[in-house]
Amino acid sequence: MLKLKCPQCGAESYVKVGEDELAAASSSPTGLVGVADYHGDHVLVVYVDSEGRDRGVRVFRALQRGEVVRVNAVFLSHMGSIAGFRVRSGGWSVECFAGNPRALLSVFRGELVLDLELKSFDLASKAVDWGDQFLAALQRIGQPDPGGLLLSVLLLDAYMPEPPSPFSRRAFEVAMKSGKLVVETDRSAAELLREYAPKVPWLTARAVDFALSVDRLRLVEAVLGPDPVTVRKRLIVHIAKRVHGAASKSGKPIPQASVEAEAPEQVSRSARLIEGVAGSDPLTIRKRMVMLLSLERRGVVRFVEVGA
Amino acid sequence: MSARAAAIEAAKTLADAVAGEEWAEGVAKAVSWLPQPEGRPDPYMLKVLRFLAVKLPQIKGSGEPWAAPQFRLFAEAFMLSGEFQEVLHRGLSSVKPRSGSAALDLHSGPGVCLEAVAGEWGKLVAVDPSPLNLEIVEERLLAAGARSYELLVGDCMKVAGLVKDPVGLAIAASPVNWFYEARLVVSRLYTALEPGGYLLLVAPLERAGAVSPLNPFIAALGGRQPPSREELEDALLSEGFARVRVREGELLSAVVAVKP
Repeated sequence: MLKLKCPQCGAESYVKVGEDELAAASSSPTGLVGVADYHGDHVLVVYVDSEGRDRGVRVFRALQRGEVVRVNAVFLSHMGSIAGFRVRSGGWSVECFAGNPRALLSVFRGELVLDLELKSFDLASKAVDWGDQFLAALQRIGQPDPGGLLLSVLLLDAYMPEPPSPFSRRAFEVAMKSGKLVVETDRSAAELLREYAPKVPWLTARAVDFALSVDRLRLVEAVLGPDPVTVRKRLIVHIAKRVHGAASKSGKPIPQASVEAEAPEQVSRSARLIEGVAGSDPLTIRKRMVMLLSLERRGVVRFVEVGA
Repeated sequence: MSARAAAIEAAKTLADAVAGEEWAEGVAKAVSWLPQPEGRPDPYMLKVLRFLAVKLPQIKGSGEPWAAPQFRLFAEAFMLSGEFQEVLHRGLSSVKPRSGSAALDLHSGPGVCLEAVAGEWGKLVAVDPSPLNLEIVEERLLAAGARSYELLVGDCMKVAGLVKDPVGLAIAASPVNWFYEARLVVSRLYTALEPGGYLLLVAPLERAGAVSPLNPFIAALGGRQPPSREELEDALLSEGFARVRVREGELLSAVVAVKP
Protein backbone atom coordinates (compact mmCIF):
# COMPACT_ATOMS: atom_id res chain seq x y z
CA MET A 1 0.00 0.00 0.00
CA LEU A 2 1.46 3.36 -1.03
CA LYS A 3 0.53 6.56 0.76
CA LEU A 4 0.65 9.70 -1.38
CA LYS A 5 -0.38 13.34 -1.27
CA CYS A 6 -2.02 14.66 -4.41
CA PRO A 7 -0.09 17.68 -5.74
CA GLN A 8 -3.32 19.00 -7.29
CA CYS A 9 -5.82 18.98 -4.41
CA GLY A 10 -3.72 17.99 -1.41
CA ALA A 11 -5.85 14.92 -0.65
CA GLU A 12 -4.11 11.91 0.87
CA SER A 13 -4.38 8.77 -1.23
CA TYR A 14 -3.73 5.15 -0.38
CA VAL A 15 -2.98 3.14 -3.50
CA LYS A 16 -2.93 -0.62 -3.27
CA VAL A 17 -0.33 -2.31 -5.46
CA GLY A 18 -0.98 -6.02 -5.89
CA GLU A 19 0.49 -8.88 -7.87
CA ASP A 20 -1.47 -7.92 -11.00
CA GLU A 21 0.11 -4.47 -11.04
CA LEU A 22 3.59 -5.88 -10.47
CA ALA A 23 3.06 -8.38 -13.31
CA ALA A 24 1.76 -5.61 -15.58
CA ALA A 25 4.84 -3.50 -14.77
CA SER A 26 7.26 -6.31 -15.56
CA SER A 27 5.56 -7.05 -18.88
CA SER A 28 5.34 -3.35 -19.83
CA PRO A 29 8.03 -2.05 -22.27
CA THR A 30 8.78 0.81 -19.85
CA GLY A 31 8.92 -1.49 -16.82
CA LEU A 32 6.33 0.68 -15.10
CA VAL A 33 2.60 0.57 -14.52
CA GLY A 34 0.39 3.56 -13.67
CA VAL A 35 -2.19 3.08 -10.90
CA ALA A 36 -4.81 5.81 -10.72
CA ASP A 37 -6.84 7.21 -7.82
CA TYR A 38 -10.13 9.04 -8.47
CA HIS A 39 -10.11 12.66 -7.21
CA GLY A 40 -13.23 14.07 -8.85
CA ASP A 41 -12.23 16.32 -11.75
CA HIS A 42 -8.78 14.76 -12.01
CA VAL A 43 -7.04 11.49 -11.31
CA LEU A 44 -3.75 10.98 -9.51
CA VAL A 45 -1.58 8.37 -11.22
CA VAL A 46 1.33 6.79 -9.35
CA TYR A 47 3.87 4.90 -11.47
CA VAL A 48 5.17 1.71 -9.92
CA ASP A 49 7.94 -0.62 -11.08
CA SER A 50 7.93 -4.41 -10.95
CA GLU A 51 9.34 -4.27 -7.40
CA GLY A 52 6.41 -2.16 -6.23
CA ARG A 53 8.51 0.98 -5.80
CA ASP A 54 6.96 4.42 -6.33
CA ARG A 55 8.57 5.88 -9.50
CA GLY A 56 6.71 9.17 -9.62
CA VAL A 57 3.22 10.66 -9.67
CA ARG A 58 1.27 12.60 -12.27
CA VAL A 59 -2.10 14.34 -12.26
CA PHE A 60 -4.33 13.86 -15.28
CA ARG A 61 -7.12 16.26 -16.19
CA ALA A 62 -7.53 14.85 -19.71
CA LEU A 63 -6.79 11.46 -21.14
CA GLN A 64 -3.73 11.43 -23.38
CA ARG A 65 -3.49 9.40 -26.55
CA GLY A 66 -1.73 6.12 -25.88
CA GLU A 67 -2.34 6.38 -22.13
CA VAL A 68 -3.42 3.31 -20.17
CA VAL A 69 -4.84 4.29 -16.77
CA ARG A 70 -5.38 1.54 -14.19
CA VAL A 71 -7.68 2.85 -11.49
CA ASN A 72 -7.11 1.94 -7.86
CA ALA A 73 -9.30 -1.12 -7.17
CA VAL A 74 -10.71 0.63 -4.08
CA PHE A 75 -12.94 2.50 -6.58
CA LEU A 76 -14.87 -0.73 -7.09
CA SER A 77 -16.04 -0.65 -3.47
CA HIS A 78 -18.53 2.07 -4.56
CA MET A 79 -20.16 -0.31 -7.05
CA GLY A 80 -23.18 -2.55 -6.63
CA SER A 81 -23.36 -4.37 -9.98
CA ILE A 82 -19.99 -3.85 -11.66
CA ALA A 83 -17.04 -5.93 -10.44
CA GLY A 84 -14.55 -4.44 -12.90
CA PHE A 85 -14.47 -2.41 -16.11
CA ARG A 86 -12.36 -1.18 -18.97
CA VAL A 87 -13.22 1.70 -21.32
CA ARG A 88 -11.10 1.80 -24.46
CA SER A 89 -10.86 3.92 -27.54
CA GLY A 90 -8.30 3.76 -30.32
CA GLY A 91 -6.10 6.12 -28.35
CA TRP A 92 -6.50 5.47 -24.62
CA SER A 93 -7.78 3.03 -22.04
CA VAL A 94 -9.10 3.35 -18.48
CA GLU A 95 -9.55 0.19 -16.47
CA CYS A 96 -10.28 -0.99 -12.96
CA PHE A 97 -10.19 -4.65 -11.92
CA ALA A 98 -9.69 -6.24 -8.53
CA GLY A 99 -7.89 -9.23 -10.08
CA ASN A 100 -7.97 -11.17 -13.31
CA PRO A 101 -11.53 -10.96 -14.64
CA ARG A 102 -13.09 -14.38 -15.27
CA ALA A 103 -15.65 -13.29 -17.84
CA LEU A 104 -16.01 -9.96 -19.59
CA LEU A 105 -19.00 -8.60 -21.42
CA SER A 106 -17.97 -6.25 -24.23
CA VAL A 107 -20.08 -3.49 -25.76
CA PHE A 108 -18.87 -1.82 -28.96
CA ARG A 109 -19.67 1.50 -30.62
CA GLY A 110 -17.35 2.73 -33.35
CA GLU A 111 -13.83 2.60 -31.98
CA LEU A 112 -15.12 2.71 -28.40
CA VAL A 113 -15.28 -0.45 -26.32
CA LEU A 114 -16.70 -0.98 -22.84
CA ASP A 115 -15.63 -4.22 -21.13
CA LEU A 116 -17.62 -5.08 -18.02
CA GLU A 117 -17.06 -7.69 -15.37
CA LEU A 118 -20.44 -8.13 -13.69
CA LYS A 119 -21.15 -9.35 -10.18
CA SER A 120 -24.12 -11.27 -11.58
CA PHE A 121 -24.62 -12.31 -15.19
CA ASP A 122 -28.38 -11.86 -14.70
CA LEU A 123 -27.79 -8.20 -15.57
CA ALA A 124 -26.03 -9.00 -18.85
CA SER A 125 -28.80 -7.98 -21.25
CA LYS A 126 -29.50 -4.76 -19.36
CA ALA A 127 -25.77 -4.08 -19.19
CA VAL A 128 -25.55 -4.22 -22.99
CA ASP A 129 -28.32 -1.61 -23.41
CA TRP A 130 -27.01 0.65 -20.66
CA GLY A 131 -23.46 0.22 -21.96
CA ASP A 132 -24.57 1.26 -25.43
CA GLN A 133 -26.08 4.49 -24.03
CA PHE A 134 -22.88 5.06 -22.06
CA LEU A 135 -20.76 4.72 -25.20
CA ALA A 136 -23.19 6.90 -27.19
CA ALA A 137 -22.59 9.66 -24.64
CA LEU A 138 -18.84 9.11 -24.79
CA GLN A 139 -18.95 9.28 -28.56
CA ARG A 140 -20.65 12.68 -28.39
CA ILE A 141 -18.28 14.03 -25.72
CA GLY A 142 -15.13 12.98 -27.58
CA GLN A 143 -12.04 13.09 -25.35
CA PRO A 144 -13.40 12.84 -21.78
CA ASP A 145 -11.67 13.97 -18.63
CA PRO A 146 -10.86 10.92 -16.53
CA GLY A 147 -12.76 12.15 -13.45
CA GLY A 148 -15.94 12.65 -15.44
CA LEU A 149 -15.50 9.27 -17.08
CA LEU A 150 -15.25 7.54 -13.70
CA LEU A 151 -18.26 9.41 -12.35
CA SER A 152 -20.27 8.23 -15.34
CA VAL A 153 -19.18 4.65 -14.60
CA LEU A 154 -20.60 5.11 -11.07
CA LEU A 155 -23.83 6.31 -12.67
CA LEU A 156 -23.84 3.31 -15.02
CA ASP A 157 -23.55 1.05 -12.00
CA ALA A 158 -26.39 2.85 -10.20
CA TYR A 159 -28.70 2.54 -13.22
CA MET A 160 -27.90 -1.01 -14.25
CA PRO A 161 -30.52 -2.90 -12.19
CA GLU A 162 -33.26 -0.67 -13.71
CA PRO A 163 -34.88 -1.21 -17.12
CA PRO A 164 -32.75 0.48 -19.80
CA SER A 165 -33.82 4.07 -20.43
CA PRO A 166 -33.83 5.84 -23.79
CA PHE A 167 -32.97 9.06 -21.95
CA SER A 168 -29.87 7.93 -20.09
CA ARG A 169 -27.40 9.18 -22.68
CA ARG A 170 -28.02 12.75 -21.52
CA ALA A 171 -27.32 11.77 -17.90
CA PHE A 172 -24.04 10.11 -18.87
CA GLU A 173 -23.05 13.17 -20.88
CA VAL A 174 -23.70 15.41 -17.88
CA ALA A 175 -21.56 13.15 -15.67
CA MET A 176 -18.75 13.03 -18.24
CA LYS A 177 -18.70 16.84 -18.44
CA SER A 178 -19.11 17.31 -14.67
CA GLY A 179 -15.72 19.01 -14.30
CA LYS A 180 -16.79 21.77 -16.70
CA LEU A 181 -20.32 22.33 -15.43
CA VAL A 182 -21.42 24.69 -12.65
CA VAL A 183 -24.64 24.12 -10.69
CA GLU A 184 -27.05 27.05 -10.52
CA THR A 185 -29.96 26.73 -8.11
CA ASP A 186 -33.28 28.51 -8.64
CA ARG A 187 -34.21 29.38 -5.06
CA SER A 188 -37.90 29.98 -5.67
CA ALA A 189 -38.14 26.66 -7.54
CA ALA A 190 -36.37 24.96 -4.62
CA GLU A 191 -38.87 26.46 -2.19
CA LEU A 192 -41.82 25.26 -4.30
CA LEU A 193 -40.31 21.79 -4.41
CA ARG A 194 -39.99 21.92 -0.61
CA GLU A 195 -43.78 22.37 -0.48
CA TYR A 196 -44.54 19.16 -2.32
CA ALA A 197 -41.41 17.06 -1.70
CA PRO A 198 -43.22 15.03 1.02
CA LYS A 199 -45.57 13.80 -1.74
CA VAL A 200 -42.66 12.48 -3.80
CA PRO A 201 -41.08 9.66 -1.77
CA TRP A 202 -37.66 9.80 -3.46
CA LEU A 203 -37.34 13.59 -3.15
CA THR A 204 -37.30 14.75 0.44
CA ALA A 205 -36.86 18.21 1.93
CA ARG A 206 -33.22 17.15 2.38
CA ALA A 207 -32.90 17.16 -1.42
CA VAL A 208 -33.99 20.80 -1.39
CA ASP A 209 -31.39 21.67 1.25
CA PHE A 210 -28.83 19.86 -0.87
CA ALA A 211 -29.84 21.87 -3.97
CA LEU A 212 -29.43 25.12 -2.02
CA SER A 213 -26.08 24.05 -0.56
CA VAL A 214 -24.49 23.30 -3.94
CA ASP A 215 -25.46 26.53 -5.67
CA ARG A 216 -22.54 27.81 -7.78
CA LEU A 217 -20.36 24.80 -7.08
CA ARG A 218 -18.89 22.89 -9.95
CA LEU A 219 -20.98 19.79 -10.56
CA VAL A 220 -18.10 17.53 -9.69
CA GLU A 221 -17.72 19.31 -6.33
CA ALA A 222 -21.47 19.12 -5.73
CA VAL A 223 -21.27 15.37 -6.18
CA LEU A 224 -18.06 14.70 -4.28
CA GLY A 225 -18.13 17.55 -1.78
CA PRO A 226 -16.14 20.71 -2.51
CA ASP A 227 -12.35 20.71 -2.16
CA PRO A 228 -10.94 22.91 0.62
CA VAL A 229 -9.56 25.51 -1.80
CA THR A 230 -13.02 26.10 -3.31
CA VAL A 231 -14.65 26.28 0.11
CA ARG A 232 -12.06 28.84 1.18
CA LYS A 233 -12.50 30.95 -1.95
CA ARG A 234 -16.28 30.91 -1.65
CA LEU A 235 -16.14 31.78 2.01
CA ILE A 236 -13.70 34.65 1.56
CA VAL A 237 -16.00 36.13 -1.06
CA HIS A 238 -18.96 35.61 1.26
CA ILE A 239 -17.21 37.21 4.25
CA ALA A 240 -15.86 40.04 2.10
CA LYS A 241 -19.39 40.77 0.89
CA ARG A 242 -20.76 40.66 4.43
CA VAL A 243 -17.98 42.82 5.90
CA HIS A 244 -18.08 45.14 2.92
CA GLY A 245 -21.84 45.49 3.29
CA ALA A 246 -21.37 46.46 6.95
CA ALA A 247 -18.56 48.84 6.01
CA SER A 248 -20.65 50.54 3.38
CA LYS A 249 -23.25 51.33 6.01
CA SER A 250 -20.63 52.82 8.36
CA GLY A 251 -18.82 54.49 5.47
CA LYS A 252 -15.43 53.02 6.47
CA PRO A 253 -13.39 50.88 4.05
CA ILE A 254 -12.38 47.43 5.28
CA PRO A 255 -8.69 46.55 4.89
CA GLN A 256 -8.17 43.37 2.84
CA ALA A 257 -5.99 41.85 5.61
CA SER A 258 -8.84 41.72 8.08
CA VAL A 259 -10.89 39.67 5.62
CA GLU A 260 -8.00 37.20 5.11
CA ALA A 261 -7.39 36.96 8.86
CA GLU A 262 -10.98 36.04 9.54
CA ALA A 263 -11.20 33.40 6.88
CA PRO A 264 -9.36 30.21 8.03
CA GLU A 265 -11.40 29.49 11.16
CA GLN A 266 -14.59 30.21 9.27
CA VAL A 267 -13.47 27.92 6.47
CA SER A 268 -13.38 24.83 8.63
CA ARG A 269 -16.77 25.67 10.07
CA SER A 270 -18.18 26.17 6.59
CA ALA A 271 -16.58 22.96 5.34
CA ARG A 272 -18.23 21.05 8.18
CA LEU A 273 -21.53 22.70 7.38
CA ILE A 274 -21.35 21.70 3.72
CA GLU A 275 -20.28 18.17 4.62
CA GLY A 276 -23.16 18.03 7.05
CA VAL A 277 -25.61 18.98 4.35
CA ALA A 278 -24.15 17.05 1.45
CA GLY A 279 -22.74 14.09 3.35
CA SER A 280 -19.13 12.97 3.04
CA ASP A 281 -19.56 9.23 2.62
CA PRO A 282 -18.09 8.22 -0.76
CA LEU A 283 -20.84 5.64 -1.24
CA THR A 284 -23.33 8.49 -1.58
CA ILE A 285 -21.55 9.97 -4.62
CA ARG A 286 -23.80 8.26 -7.12
CA LYS A 287 -26.91 8.99 -5.04
CA ARG A 288 -26.03 12.68 -5.14
CA MET A 289 -25.50 12.50 -8.90
CA VAL A 290 -28.87 10.80 -9.40
CA MET A 291 -30.52 13.36 -7.10
CA LEU A 292 -28.95 16.31 -8.94
CA LEU A 293 -30.21 14.96 -12.26
CA SER A 294 -33.68 14.64 -10.75
CA LEU A 295 -33.52 18.24 -9.51
CA GLU A 296 -32.27 19.39 -12.92
CA ARG A 297 -35.24 17.77 -14.67
CA ARG A 298 -37.51 19.86 -12.46
CA GLY A 299 -35.64 23.09 -13.12
CA VAL A 300 -34.58 23.41 -9.46
CA VAL A 301 -30.97 23.39 -10.60
CA ARG A 302 -29.39 23.84 -13.99
CA PHE A 303 -25.93 22.94 -15.21
CA VAL A 304 -24.06 25.73 -16.92
CA GLU A 305 -20.91 25.04 -18.87
CA VAL A 306 -17.99 27.09 -17.54
CA GLY A 307 -17.09 29.80 -20.00
CA ALA A 308 -20.34 29.35 -21.96
CA MET B 1 -59.90 26.23 2.18
CA SER B 2 -60.65 27.02 -1.42
CA ALA B 3 -58.57 26.15 -4.49
CA ARG B 4 -60.80 28.48 -6.50
CA ALA B 5 -60.15 31.42 -4.19
CA ALA B 6 -56.42 30.65 -4.41
CA ALA B 7 -56.53 30.80 -8.21
CA ILE B 8 -58.39 34.13 -8.15
CA GLU B 9 -55.86 35.57 -5.66
CA ALA B 10 -52.91 34.28 -7.69
CA ALA B 11 -54.37 35.79 -10.87
CA LYS B 12 -53.78 39.22 -9.30
CA THR B 13 -50.11 38.33 -8.87
CA LEU B 14 -50.11 37.21 -12.51
CA ALA B 15 -51.45 40.59 -13.69
CA ASP B 16 -48.65 42.35 -11.79
CA ALA B 17 -45.96 39.91 -12.94
CA VAL B 18 -46.70 40.31 -16.64
CA ALA B 19 -47.43 44.04 -16.61
CA GLY B 20 -45.21 45.64 -19.22
CA GLU B 21 -45.16 42.61 -21.50
CA GLU B 22 -46.58 43.10 -24.99
CA TRP B 23 -49.27 40.51 -24.33
CA ALA B 24 -50.21 41.80 -20.85
CA GLU B 25 -53.42 43.49 -21.99
CA GLY B 26 -55.25 40.24 -22.78
CA VAL B 27 -54.18 38.79 -19.44
CA ALA B 28 -55.34 41.86 -17.52
CA LYS B 29 -58.70 41.63 -19.28
CA ALA B 30 -59.05 37.94 -18.37
CA VAL B 31 -58.19 38.76 -14.74
CA SER B 32 -60.76 41.57 -14.67
CA TRP B 33 -63.55 39.09 -15.55
CA LEU B 34 -62.90 37.01 -12.45
CA PRO B 35 -65.26 37.35 -9.48
CA GLN B 36 -64.08 38.24 -5.99
CA PRO B 37 -62.67 35.22 -4.13
CA GLU B 38 -64.98 33.48 -1.68
CA GLY B 39 -63.57 31.66 1.31
CA ARG B 40 -60.00 31.25 2.49
CA PRO B 41 -57.53 30.51 -0.34
CA ASP B 42 -55.91 27.07 -0.23
CA PRO B 43 -52.32 28.05 0.76
CA TYR B 44 -50.68 25.24 -1.26
CA MET B 45 -52.57 26.07 -4.46
CA LEU B 46 -51.85 29.76 -3.89
CA LYS B 47 -48.08 29.09 -3.71
CA VAL B 48 -48.18 26.86 -6.80
CA LEU B 49 -50.09 29.34 -8.94
CA ARG B 50 -48.12 32.32 -7.66
CA PHE B 51 -44.94 30.48 -8.68
CA LEU B 52 -46.41 30.08 -12.19
CA ALA B 53 -47.45 33.74 -12.21
CA VAL B 54 -44.00 35.03 -11.27
CA LYS B 55 -42.19 32.69 -13.68
CA LEU B 56 -44.56 33.27 -16.57
CA PRO B 57 -42.48 35.87 -18.45
CA GLN B 58 -39.50 33.45 -18.33
CA ILE B 59 -41.66 30.48 -19.36
CA LYS B 60 -43.20 32.36 -22.25
CA GLY B 61 -39.82 33.75 -23.29
CA SER B 62 -38.43 30.24 -23.66
CA GLY B 63 -40.31 29.78 -26.95
CA GLU B 64 -41.61 26.32 -25.97
CA PRO B 65 -43.50 27.07 -22.74
CA TRP B 66 -44.70 23.46 -22.27
CA ALA B 67 -41.05 22.37 -22.14
CA ALA B 68 -39.72 25.18 -19.91
CA PRO B 69 -38.20 23.86 -16.66
CA GLN B 70 -40.35 26.21 -14.56
CA PHE B 71 -43.49 24.88 -16.25
CA ARG B 72 -42.40 21.29 -15.62
CA LEU B 73 -42.03 22.05 -11.92
CA PHE B 74 -45.35 23.90 -11.82
CA ALA B 75 -47.15 21.02 -13.58
CA GLU B 76 -45.87 18.48 -11.05
CA ALA B 77 -46.74 20.70 -8.07
CA PHE B 78 -50.20 21.41 -9.53
CA MET B 79 -50.95 17.75 -10.22
CA LEU B 80 -49.98 16.81 -6.67
CA SER B 81 -52.39 19.39 -5.21
CA GLY B 82 -55.41 18.22 -3.21
CA GLU B 83 -57.78 19.63 -5.85
CA PHE B 84 -56.19 17.78 -8.78
CA GLN B 85 -55.79 14.53 -6.87
CA GLU B 86 -59.39 14.57 -5.68
CA VAL B 87 -60.80 15.23 -9.14
CA LEU B 88 -58.48 12.65 -10.74
CA HIS B 89 -59.53 9.94 -8.30
CA ARG B 90 -63.20 10.82 -8.70
CA GLY B 91 -62.76 10.30 -12.44
CA LEU B 92 -60.82 7.07 -11.98
CA SER B 93 -63.56 5.70 -9.73
CA SER B 94 -65.74 5.45 -12.90
CA VAL B 95 -63.10 3.45 -14.78
CA LYS B 96 -62.87 -0.35 -14.57
CA PRO B 97 -59.20 -1.33 -14.94
CA ARG B 98 -58.23 -4.24 -17.23
CA SER B 99 -54.92 -5.86 -16.49
CA GLY B 100 -54.67 -7.13 -20.08
CA SER B 101 -54.90 -3.63 -21.59
CA ALA B 102 -52.72 -0.55 -21.65
CA ALA B 103 -53.28 2.91 -20.18
CA LEU B 104 -52.14 5.89 -22.23
CA ASP B 105 -51.41 9.34 -20.79
CA LEU B 106 -51.36 11.93 -23.58
CA HIS B 107 -49.31 15.09 -22.88
CA SER B 108 -48.43 13.32 -19.66
CA GLY B 109 -46.38 16.08 -18.06
CA PRO B 110 -44.64 14.52 -15.03
CA GLY B 111 -46.69 11.30 -15.20
CA VAL B 112 -48.72 11.77 -12.02
CA CYS B 113 -51.81 10.17 -13.63
CA LEU B 114 -49.93 7.09 -14.81
CA GLU B 115 -48.53 6.67 -11.30
CA ALA B 116 -52.13 6.66 -10.03
CA VAL B 117 -53.09 3.74 -12.30
CA ALA B 118 -49.79 1.79 -12.16
CA GLY B 119 -50.44 -1.81 -11.15
CA GLU B 120 -54.00 -1.78 -12.50
CA TRP B 121 -53.16 -1.85 -16.20
CA GLY B 122 -50.87 -4.28 -18.05
CA LYS B 123 -48.82 -1.55 -19.70
CA LEU B 124 -48.38 2.19 -19.21
CA VAL B 125 -47.71 4.52 -22.13
CA ALA B 126 -46.71 8.19 -21.77
CA VAL B 127 -46.66 10.57 -24.74
CA ASP B 128 -45.28 14.06 -24.20
CA PRO B 129 -43.55 16.62 -26.40
CA SER B 130 -40.82 17.20 -23.78
CA PRO B 131 -38.18 14.44 -23.32
CA LEU B 132 -37.39 15.91 -19.90
CA ASN B 133 -40.99 15.40 -18.82
CA LEU B 134 -40.64 11.79 -19.91
CA GLU B 135 -37.50 11.47 -17.78
CA ILE B 136 -39.61 12.55 -14.78
CA VAL B 137 -42.33 10.06 -15.80
CA GLU B 138 -39.72 7.32 -15.86
CA GLU B 139 -38.46 8.30 -12.40
CA ARG B 140 -42.02 8.19 -11.10
CA LEU B 141 -42.95 4.86 -12.72
CA LEU B 142 -39.79 3.16 -11.50
CA ALA B 143 -40.51 4.36 -7.98
CA ALA B 144 -44.07 3.00 -8.32
CA GLY B 145 -42.64 -0.40 -9.25
CA ALA B 146 -43.92 -0.34 -12.85
CA ARG B 147 -41.95 -2.59 -15.15
CA SER B 148 -43.89 -2.46 -18.41
CA TYR B 149 -44.02 1.04 -19.79
CA GLU B 150 -43.29 3.00 -22.94
CA LEU B 151 -42.17 6.64 -23.11
CA LEU B 152 -42.78 8.35 -26.43
CA VAL B 153 -41.80 11.84 -27.53
CA GLY B 154 -44.67 13.47 -29.41
CA ASP B 155 -48.09 15.03 -29.04
CA CYS B 156 -51.69 14.49 -30.11
CA MET B 157 -50.79 15.11 -33.75
CA LYS B 158 -48.47 12.10 -33.71
CA VAL B 159 -50.19 9.83 -31.21
CA ALA B 160 -51.85 7.59 -33.81
CA GLY B 161 -48.47 6.78 -35.35
CA LEU B 162 -46.70 6.37 -32.02
CA VAL B 163 -49.16 4.13 -30.15
CA LYS B 164 -49.40 0.95 -32.22
CA ASP B 165 -51.91 -1.11 -30.19
CA PRO B 166 -55.29 0.23 -29.01
CA VAL B 167 -55.44 1.08 -25.32
CA GLY B 168 -58.10 0.49 -22.66
CA LEU B 169 -57.71 3.86 -20.96
CA ALA B 170 -56.70 7.18 -22.54
CA ILE B 171 -55.99 10.08 -20.19
CA ALA B 172 -55.49 13.77 -21.01
CA ALA B 173 -55.15 15.62 -17.74
CA SER B 174 -51.83 17.38 -17.18
CA PRO B 175 -51.45 21.14 -17.72
CA VAL B 176 -49.48 20.35 -20.90
CA ASN B 177 -52.96 19.79 -22.41
CA TRP B 178 -53.67 23.50 -21.93
CA PHE B 179 -51.65 24.06 -25.09
CA TYR B 180 -53.89 21.86 -27.26
CA GLU B 181 -57.40 22.19 -28.68
CA ALA B 182 -59.66 19.96 -26.56
CA ARG B 183 -61.71 18.80 -29.57
CA LEU B 184 -58.54 17.67 -31.37
CA VAL B 185 -57.29 15.78 -28.30
CA VAL B 186 -60.63 14.01 -27.94
CA SER B 187 -60.68 13.04 -31.61
CA ARG B 188 -57.11 11.65 -31.54
CA LEU B 189 -57.74 9.68 -28.37
CA TYR B 190 -60.91 8.13 -29.82
CA THR B 191 -58.78 6.45 -32.50
CA ALA B 192 -56.25 5.23 -29.91
CA LEU B 193 -58.92 3.48 -27.78
CA GLU B 194 -60.09 -0.11 -28.09
CA PRO B 195 -63.88 -0.73 -28.10
CA GLY B 196 -65.14 -0.40 -24.56
CA GLY B 197 -62.10 1.74 -23.69
CA TYR B 198 -62.35 4.71 -21.35
CA LEU B 199 -61.46 8.33 -21.95
CA LEU B 200 -60.55 10.40 -18.88
CA LEU B 201 -60.09 14.15 -19.13
CA VAL B 202 -59.22 16.51 -16.28
CA ALA B 203 -59.66 20.15 -17.29
CA PRO B 204 -60.76 23.54 -15.95
CA LEU B 205 -64.34 23.31 -17.29
CA GLU B 206 -67.01 25.85 -16.45
CA ARG B 207 -70.70 26.04 -17.30
CA ALA B 208 -71.40 28.12 -20.43
CA GLY B 209 -70.99 31.82 -19.65
CA ALA B 210 -68.80 31.31 -16.57
CA VAL B 211 -65.05 31.97 -16.43
CA SER B 212 -62.43 29.63 -14.98
CA PRO B 213 -59.93 31.35 -12.67
CA LEU B 214 -57.26 29.41 -14.57
CA ASN B 215 -58.15 31.15 -17.84
CA PRO B 216 -55.80 34.13 -17.29
CA PHE B 217 -52.91 31.72 -16.71
CA ILE B 218 -53.74 29.73 -19.84
CA ALA B 219 -54.05 32.96 -21.83
CA ALA B 220 -50.71 34.20 -20.52
CA LEU B 221 -49.03 30.90 -21.46
CA GLY B 222 -50.37 31.21 -25.00
CA GLY B 223 -52.54 28.11 -24.51
CA ARG B 224 -55.98 27.26 -25.89
CA GLN B 225 -58.94 28.43 -23.82
CA PRO B 226 -60.80 25.35 -22.56
CA PRO B 227 -64.32 24.71 -23.90
CA SER B 228 -67.35 25.05 -21.66
CA ARG B 229 -68.66 21.89 -20.07
CA GLU B 230 -71.56 21.81 -22.55
CA GLU B 231 -69.28 22.30 -25.56
CA LEU B 232 -67.06 19.46 -24.44
CA GLU B 233 -70.00 17.11 -23.86
CA ASP B 234 -71.26 17.90 -27.38
CA ALA B 235 -67.80 17.26 -28.83
CA LEU B 236 -67.56 13.89 -27.08
CA LEU B 237 -70.96 12.73 -28.28
CA SER B 238 -70.39 13.90 -31.85
CA GLU B 239 -67.04 12.07 -31.89
CA GLY B 240 -68.89 8.85 -31.04
CA PHE B 241 -68.27 8.51 -27.30
CA ALA B 242 -71.07 7.26 -25.03
CA ARG B 243 -71.81 7.23 -21.29
CA VAL B 244 -70.34 10.70 -20.73
CA ARG B 245 -70.04 11.49 -17.06
CA VAL B 246 -68.75 14.72 -15.51
CA ARG B 247 -67.45 14.97 -11.93
CA GLU B 248 -67.00 18.57 -10.85
CA GLY B 249 -64.37 19.82 -8.47
CA GLU B 250 -63.87 23.36 -7.31
CA LEU B 251 -61.40 24.39 -9.96
CA LEU B 252 -61.21 21.33 -12.21
CA SER B 253 -63.61 18.71 -13.56
CA ALA B 254 -63.11 15.08 -14.50
CA VAL B 255 -64.90 13.82 -17.60
CA VAL B 256 -65.18 10.09 -18.27
CA ALA B 257 -66.58 8.68 -21.52
CA VAL B 258 -66.60 5.25 -23.14
CA LYS B 259 -65.89 4.27 -26.74
CA PRO B 260 -68.75 1.92 -27.73
